[in-house]
This record gives sequence, C-alpha cells and structure tokens, in this order.
Amino acid sequence: MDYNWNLDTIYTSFDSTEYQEDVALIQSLTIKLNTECDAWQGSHNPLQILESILADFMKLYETLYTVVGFASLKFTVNTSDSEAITHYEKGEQMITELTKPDVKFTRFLGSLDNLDALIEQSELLKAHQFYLSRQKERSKYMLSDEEEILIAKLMTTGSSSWSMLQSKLTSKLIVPVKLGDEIKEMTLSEARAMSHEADLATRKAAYEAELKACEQIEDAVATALNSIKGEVLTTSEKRGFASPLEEALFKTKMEQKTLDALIGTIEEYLPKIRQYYKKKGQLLGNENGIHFYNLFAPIGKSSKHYTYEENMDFIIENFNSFSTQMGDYAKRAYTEQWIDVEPKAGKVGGAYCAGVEKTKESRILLNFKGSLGDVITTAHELGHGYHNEMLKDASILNIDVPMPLAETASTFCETIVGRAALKTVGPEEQITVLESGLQDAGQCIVDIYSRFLFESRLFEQRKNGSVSVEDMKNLMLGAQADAYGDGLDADFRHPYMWLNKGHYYSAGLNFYNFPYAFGLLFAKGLYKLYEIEGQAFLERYNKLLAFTGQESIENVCASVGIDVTTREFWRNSLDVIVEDIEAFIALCD
Amino acid sequence: MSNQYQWSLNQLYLSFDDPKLEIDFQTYLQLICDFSKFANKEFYDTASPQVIIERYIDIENQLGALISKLSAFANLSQATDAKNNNAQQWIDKIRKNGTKLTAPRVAFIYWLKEHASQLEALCVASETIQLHRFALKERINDSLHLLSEKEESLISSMIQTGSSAWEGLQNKTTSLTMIPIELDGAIKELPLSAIRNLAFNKDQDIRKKAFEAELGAYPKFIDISAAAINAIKGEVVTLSDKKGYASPLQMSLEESRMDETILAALIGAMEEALPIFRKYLKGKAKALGHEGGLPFYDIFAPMGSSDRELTIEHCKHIVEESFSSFSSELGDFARQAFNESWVDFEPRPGKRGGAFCSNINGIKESRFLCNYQGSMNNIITVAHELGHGFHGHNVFKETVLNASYPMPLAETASTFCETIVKNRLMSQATPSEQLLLVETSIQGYNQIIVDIYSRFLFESSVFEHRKSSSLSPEELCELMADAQKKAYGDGLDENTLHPYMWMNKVHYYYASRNFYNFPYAFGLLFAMGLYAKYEQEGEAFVERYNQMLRLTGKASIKEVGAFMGIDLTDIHFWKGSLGLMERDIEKFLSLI
Repeated sequence: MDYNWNLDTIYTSFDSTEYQEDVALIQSLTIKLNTECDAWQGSHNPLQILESILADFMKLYETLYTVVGFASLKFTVNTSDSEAITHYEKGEQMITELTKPDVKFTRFLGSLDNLDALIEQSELLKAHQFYLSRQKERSKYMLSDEEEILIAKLMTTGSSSWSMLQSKLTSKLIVPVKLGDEIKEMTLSEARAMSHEADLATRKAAYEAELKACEQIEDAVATALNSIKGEVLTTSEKRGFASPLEEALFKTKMEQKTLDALIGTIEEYLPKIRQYYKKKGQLLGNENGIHFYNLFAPIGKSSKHYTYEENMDFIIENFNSFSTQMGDYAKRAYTEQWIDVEPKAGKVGGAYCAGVEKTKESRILLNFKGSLGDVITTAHELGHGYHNEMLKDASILNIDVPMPLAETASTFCETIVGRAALKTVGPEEQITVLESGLQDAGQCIVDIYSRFLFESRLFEQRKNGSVSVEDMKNLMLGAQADAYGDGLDADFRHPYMWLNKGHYYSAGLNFYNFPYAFGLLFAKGLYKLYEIEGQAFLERYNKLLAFTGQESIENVCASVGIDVTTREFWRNSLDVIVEDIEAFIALCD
Repeated sequence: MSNQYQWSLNQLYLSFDDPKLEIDFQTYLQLICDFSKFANKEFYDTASPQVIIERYIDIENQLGALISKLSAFANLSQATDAKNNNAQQWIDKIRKNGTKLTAPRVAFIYWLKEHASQLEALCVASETIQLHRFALKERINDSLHLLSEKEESLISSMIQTGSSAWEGLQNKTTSLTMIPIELDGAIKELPLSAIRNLAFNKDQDIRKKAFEAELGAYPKFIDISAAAINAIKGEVVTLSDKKGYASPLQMSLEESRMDETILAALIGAMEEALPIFRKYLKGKAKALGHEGGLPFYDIFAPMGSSDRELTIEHCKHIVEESFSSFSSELGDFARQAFNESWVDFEPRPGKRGGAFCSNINGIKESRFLCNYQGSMNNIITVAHELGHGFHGHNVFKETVLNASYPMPLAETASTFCETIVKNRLMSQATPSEQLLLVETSIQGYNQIIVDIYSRFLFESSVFEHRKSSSLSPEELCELMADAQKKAYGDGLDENTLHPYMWMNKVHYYYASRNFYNFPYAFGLLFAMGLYAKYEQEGEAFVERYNQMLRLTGKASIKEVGAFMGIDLTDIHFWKGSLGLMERDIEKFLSLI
C-alpha cells in the first residue's frame, strides 16, 4: 500500500496542459473582471451584469482555488519543493488581483435599490440570494475608497507591524528550563509543549520558567496588544459597527442572541465542568483545584497501537454504524488514496483536510504514528472531507462556511469514533481515553470562555486608554478565576496567557474564541440528537451540512429544526460533556 | 520625594488624583465640544467671517494652554518614571480626545482657504485677526497638503496606535534597559544613559569598557527598535506621499518654515568644514596615544583637567552668574528655575536618558530634565536646556497660537546660552582647564556638525530604502556605519564605529518630526553668528535678541534671520560661524 496521497486526478504536474490551461483561464477572467468592473455601477442593465459577474466569479474561484490548492498540497508534503512555493506565491498574487473587482462588486450591489426585485427575475440570482444580500449588507460597512486605501496602508505600519513584533519576540524568546540538574534552553513553544509531559517536575519547571521568561518581553508585547486593539476600536467605529464584538459577529454570520445563549449556558454548566478539574487535580495531588501546569498532564497510559489499515477498518466500521453513506465515503478516501499518511522529511506537522473544488474530492494530510489519538485525528479529518462531500452540489459562492460551523462534521466524527474506541479498551485505558477527550473539551469550553471574558474586558478598558502590563495580567487572572472557579488553584494560574496566543494579535480576527466553543458544543448537541432520534437523524444531518454555507448560522440551524438562539439546545450539548465527566470520575473512584 | 534636585510639578497638579486635573480635563472636553461646531456647515452659514476667525483663534489659544498643562504633567511624570501607568493612561486619554480636533481644524482651514481673499480686509477690521495674520496665512498654505476631513480624522486616530505608540515603546525600552558593567571589581547594572555618560570619564579603560558594555546591550532590543523605526518611517512615507509632498525632507522643511536654499547653504558649508574637524579628531587621537583615527569610545574623552568638583550647586552658580553677565533678565530666569525646582538633575532607574526642556505655556513656566553627573559638559547641557526655557519665557509673552516656533529656531536660544556659559568658564579657567574647555567646546561642535551630518545622511538613506521595503536590523546598522564613515572620514578609527547609534538617538523615533538633526546644526551656527554680533554690538544687542525670540513663533526662518540683519541663504554666513570653530580647533591643536 502506498501511503502517499495521489494527486493525479487534480493535475499530474505543474507542467501539465490542464494546469497551464487553468492558469490561463484565471488570468483572462481576472483581466476581464478588472477591466469591466469600473462600468458596473450605474449600468443600464444590472440584471445582465449581475448574472455575468456571478458566472465569472464562480468559474474563476473554482479554478483559482484548485490551482492554489494544488500548489499548497504539494508544498505541505515537501516544504523544500521550490517549484510548489513559486506556484503558491503566484497563486496568492492572483488572489490579490481580485481585490478591486471584489470591492467594486460589493459597492455595485450596495448601489442597487431594487436588488430583491432583480433577484426574482433570474434563477441564477435566486440561487445566490443570500450571498448577494450579504454582499450588499457588507457595503454598508465600507468606507470611501480613499479611506479604505489609507486604512490598508496605515495598517501595514500599525497592526500588521505590531503583530509581527509579537510573533518575533515570542518566537525568539529563550526559556531556560531546569530539568534535573541541567538547565535546558528552549523556545517558548517548546517550553509550553512541556505541559503535556508525563513527569510532574518537568511540567512545573517549564511553567515556572515560562512565567519568568515572559517578564522580559511583557512591555513590548503589551504595547503591541494595546495598539492592535486600539486600532481595531478605531476602524470598527469608523466603519459603523457598535463594537468590535458586533463586527466579529457580523463577519461570522451570527447573531448576538445566539452568542448570549451559548455563553449563558456555558456559565450555567461551569460548576459541573469544574468537577473534572477538581478530580484531575486530586489525582495529581492538587487539593485546592488543579494547578495550571497540570491541565494537560496525561492520565494513565495508552498502550494500544493501530496500523494504518486497522485504523481505517475501525473508522469505516464505526462510520458505517452511523450511516453507510459516511462509511462508503471513508472507504473511498482510503482506496482512492486521498490520504497522505506518515510523517516524512520536509512534511509539515499536524493534520488537515482540503477540498478540491474542480474534482469535488478532498485530500487529507496526517502524521499517523498509530496511537489512539491518531485514530481520532483521522476520523476528525474524514469528517471535514464528508462535510465537503455534502457541499459538492452547491455553488462555490454558497460554500463559505462560517468558522463556528466549520468544525461541526469533524467533531461529530471524532465523537462517533471516540465513543466506539472507548468500548474496545479496558477500564484502565478508558480513563486515559476519556480524560484526553475532556482535556480538549475543557479547553474549548472553559479556557475559551476565559479568553472571551479577557478580550471583552480588554476592549472595554482599552477604550479609556492603554492597559498596563499589570492590568493586563490582572485581567487574565480574573478571567481565569471566573472561568475555572474552584477548579483551578488561585495560586497557580497563568497571568501571561495573553502574551502567547497569536489570535489576540490579528487585527482582522477579533474574538476568535467563541467559534471554538460553538463548534465543539454544536457537534456534541447534534450527537445527542442522533442518540435520541437514531436513523431518522441522518437525513437532517446531511441536509444541515449541505446548507452550512448558504445562510446565517441561525437560519442554517433552523432549517433542520435546531434553535441555537435558546439555551435548550446547548444544554443537550453540555450534557454530553457532563456524561463523560461523570464516567471519568466514576472510573477514578 | 521632596528631593531639591528633582523637579516639582506641583505648579501643574499635585498628583493624578488632584481634583484640578479632572476639572481641567473636563474643561478640555468642553472646549473640544465647542470646537466641533466648526465642523458644522450651519455655523459657517450663519456667523460672519470675522466672528468665525476670532472664535477660532480664541478656542485654539485656550486649547493650547490647557493641553500644554495636561500633557506636560503626564509626559513629565512618565519621563522620570517609565513604569508610571497613570501617566501612560492620561497620555492616551488626552491624545485620543485630541484626535477629535482634527475634523473641526480641517473644516476651518478649508473654509479659510475659500475666504483667503478677505483676509487682508479682516486684518484691518480686527486687531485679533491682525495679530494672528501669520498663523492664518500659514494655515491657508497648509491646505495644499490637506486631505479630506474624514481622511485627516482617520489619520489622527490611526497615528495613536501607529507611530505614536511605536515612539512610546522605543522610549520605554531604552529607559528600562539595564546594562551590566564591571567597575572597581564589582559588576553593576546601570541604565543606558548612565553607561553613555561614562564616555566622558577620565579613565580610558572605563570609557572603553562602557563602550563595549553599551554595544553589547543593543542586540537585546534590536528587534524592537528596528520594528519601531521601520513602522514610524514607513508611516511617514505613506503620509507624506498621500499629502502630496515631494519627500519627507520637503515635508520637514515646510513644517520648519524653512527654504530649501537655506538648507543647501547650511549643508554645503558643513561639508566644506569636515576636513578641519578630521584634523581635530586625528590630533585628539594622537594626544590620547592612538595611531590614525580616533576610536569611537574616545570621542568624548576629556582633555586637560580641572580640580574643581562640580557639584550641582557649582553648576547652578556658574550658570546663574554667566547668564547674569549677558542680561539680568536671563540671570533672573535661571535663578527662578533653580529656586522653584524646575530642574530634575540626576539620573535614576526608570528615568529617561539625555536632557530636554518642556515649555508649558499653560503656566508660563518650563521644566528641565537632565542627567547631571558632575562634568563640565553636564553644566553646558544644563545651560542649553535653560536656554530653551528662556526662549519659552519670551514667547510666553505672545498668544499660544503665536508661540510655537519651528525646529531649527528651537535650537537657537539653547545654543546661545551654551556659548555664554562656555565663554564664561573659559575666562576664569587655568591653562589646564582652558584645554578642557576648548576641547569640550570642539567636542560639542563636532557632534553638531560632523555627527549631525552623519545622522542627516543616515535618515536620508533610511527614507530612500523604506520607500520600497522595510529594513532589517543588519541593514540599519550598515547604513549607520556608512554614514559615520562618510561624515568622520579618517578622523575616526574605522574599526570602532558605532553601528547602533540609530537605536540610541530618540530623534529618529519622533512620530511627527523628521530630520530632527539639521536643526541642531542650524541652531548652533545661527547662534554663533548671533553671538559674534553680540560681541560687536554689546548691550544694544540684548533687547533685539529678546524681540527676535518672541518673533520665532510668528515668522518664517528667513524673516527671523532678516530681522537680525542676516541672510541665511548665503553660504558665507554659515562659513563665518564655522570659521569661529576653526579658530578654536587651531587653538586646541596648539595647546596639545
């Protein structure tokens, strides 16, 4: 069996006629749109123009994403492939050349008072009704061309430069960790990765060294964060948003009341979830709540080993138990070699799944070594692939899945396989498996909640001026206290969690935390529905996935009878987590 | 806290909790509110041009006074305590609200531009308008480079989280850096400014050690400084381009109310004088036992010596006495500054390095930050800063709108006072002290002619490169070393250059001022030219000089020169001043 993925159905090479033709097609469509876009606004026949633009954009995006995706696939399995790098960079360049027509299109839609009437007259437009109205709405938040250009330019010496400074300082920081009698100098991310080590003394030493090292760069990084969030407050206000949170919700197609329901339910369940942290703390000798450096401590040991074939058999079998359609999908990915399995020199770490627009296939990159965790990861990525499969009949303009919904299928599949795996191991290992799942869930719920609190409070305080390092640390400690409560020992929190999380430093991604909580809990809630409804759920599930890119989050969910704006749904989700916590505690006792 | 050698800010506010501070802040907000009417079309349609202009002048004058108090308190508190969080918050708060002034200002300038033809008539009708004629005409000229109200507002907001924040980070970073150095067999940690002051130490070994310790410290924060200078200069490139200036230099010249011809004459004269300075540097090198050029660490080496112990009390006495010899008004000014604790003398951790003067129009007083450590040079620095204060003392007699003078003229009064003190010290000196003083003087000239020339070259090439891409820390160091080579030539030992000087000089990081280097050369040479006139004219000069200082806030540089009978576009004027320096250099060479 060849463990390398096969890309031949996409292109055989960069030199192939098909690839060359596609690049030429992209170039000609790009030129066409750039030439025509000045005349869009004020045209006499907007209907015809709209149809033509949509057709061009659809063809263009489909080809462009396939071309760029191909280069990206090639690059990630061999990062020194200079041919792939060159093609990838060319692709990025091609994407930036679409900025002008994209902006003009949005403005054009903004100028059409009779858009709804126009949509009624065309099947193509009707199929893109939501997309068109959303673009039109986006135009409300656009400033004049002069202001937009100025913002873009000043951001390069503002937030983008601050963000680069943060990543430079955090990546160059040297953390001297005392391991036994030796001091080992490591990077911040290496020191942070020590939190997964089995040895308690190692975890603790790394945590202490990390906190100490952060002091060296705290002033500069806090200035960066102050400036980035200050800039966001400026631009968000200028664009007419009530707050950065409103802007983040708008971008992710989600309503405030949904967020309120989600956050409110999390708050309701925090005491139950803290039981997990207390229990884990006790196992590790922490009587007043777990210590921060023990959050990722592995409990027990997983000895089970899977070959890649066993892994796929196990997944296909369990997918089949959910639906044969999903089982067949996994089988197809396996037999048609869509998966690049093993780690090898020059290959990137981690795992991902990418959809290929033109062939309606997916490709999955793994670094499979045979652990149970690797099996779960495989299921997760196949879940993404299955999501792509469900979207394949939709127009490319209708598959822009917002981040909170993007992890639905993947987490769902993880849950299916995780629960199945639990039954195949003995009680000792069950603890390990359950606990590892709870670690992730705890991060997505409790830690994400602390980050949401921190960011909300930071914005609030930043409105009145710079936030000092001391205040920033206190905001973080306060957010952790409110989130972890008595689950976390107050003397062993982490005041610098704002310093190392890259998300806080991207001016374009504010509140990039609640989508994680949404993603996890939404999938868990669906799983609960599946448990209740059995086979009847399957159709709803497929329909939901197919619809994820077409409407607001609320409407997508409502289309299959799920109301994410009230707490009832979220309680179901959290109950799934609480069941695991109870099982974990019972196994421990 | 009540150390007599630390400044007192009580005249401003007692603390950040002082109710007066909050009251002033509220008044400030109210004024902003009143002013925002100016962004409103209705206001212009209903009020008469005379009323509009007079109201504008009134509000700007009030605002200027208030802002000077509020921001001086916050900035000065922070200058002696970099970690003062209250200060940073207030700075942000004042600035953030200040951005709301942009829209009404822009609206007024556009309105004024349309009514430019009526200005002369209005000057006749209204004394207030006549009094502010220069300021108003300058605003009409500014309108050529003004963007729309919306764009200007956007810029003033984004600068707060852009260049202005970068400047703050650079200041904080340099003032908090502690550098380990071995002195008297023990390792000590000293702030950067104290380490740099060791360059003036009598002991060559210490100078060299300090230089090495200093150079060793820069790599620790080079990423921050490089990011800051790239962002600040990048923003300048963006804005000068948007506003239609030919270059950042042209923008600086216009802001300086200075003609390009003046700059060309000035730089031309400086370039011609470089060989004379190289002669001095090589002479000094030889006297200190070096072959060839002078090593960087010996640039500030004192020569000759003085037995006098120069305590702060000595410093006060010398400054006061020499100032009085020029005019009783100047002497009284120094006495007031010392007696009323306007000066913060000594270095301490968390305090900013270098020296500066803050003229606070709102209370018609000044405050001076120094890092006094007992050298002759330190005394001259105190005189220099007090000179700035005396300039302030004179322009405070004008309205606030007429009191802001351009960068080159900002260094005139300071340098003039330096010269007064230097000459006084000289006249009372023993032969060995004479050498010390002459050399100290030339050291200063060398900084302001040769080193400033290197900074001018460096900044020019930074802008040149920054147009197309950002500069790596290594590239910045290379440009700096190149500029030093071009300026110092064989006067300096090529192996001991200071490629990190761009991290040390605060001027490169000013968010709203570029090329803050040639103004020093202008100031020194202009002041020397003035001093020569004083020597010729005696008493008669004193009153005219004071009047000239008052004029600096309401005339172009050329006009100020003309007021004193000087043609600043003529290279011969500049060469005249440089000739006086040459005389000192010849004297120095004969002494060693």
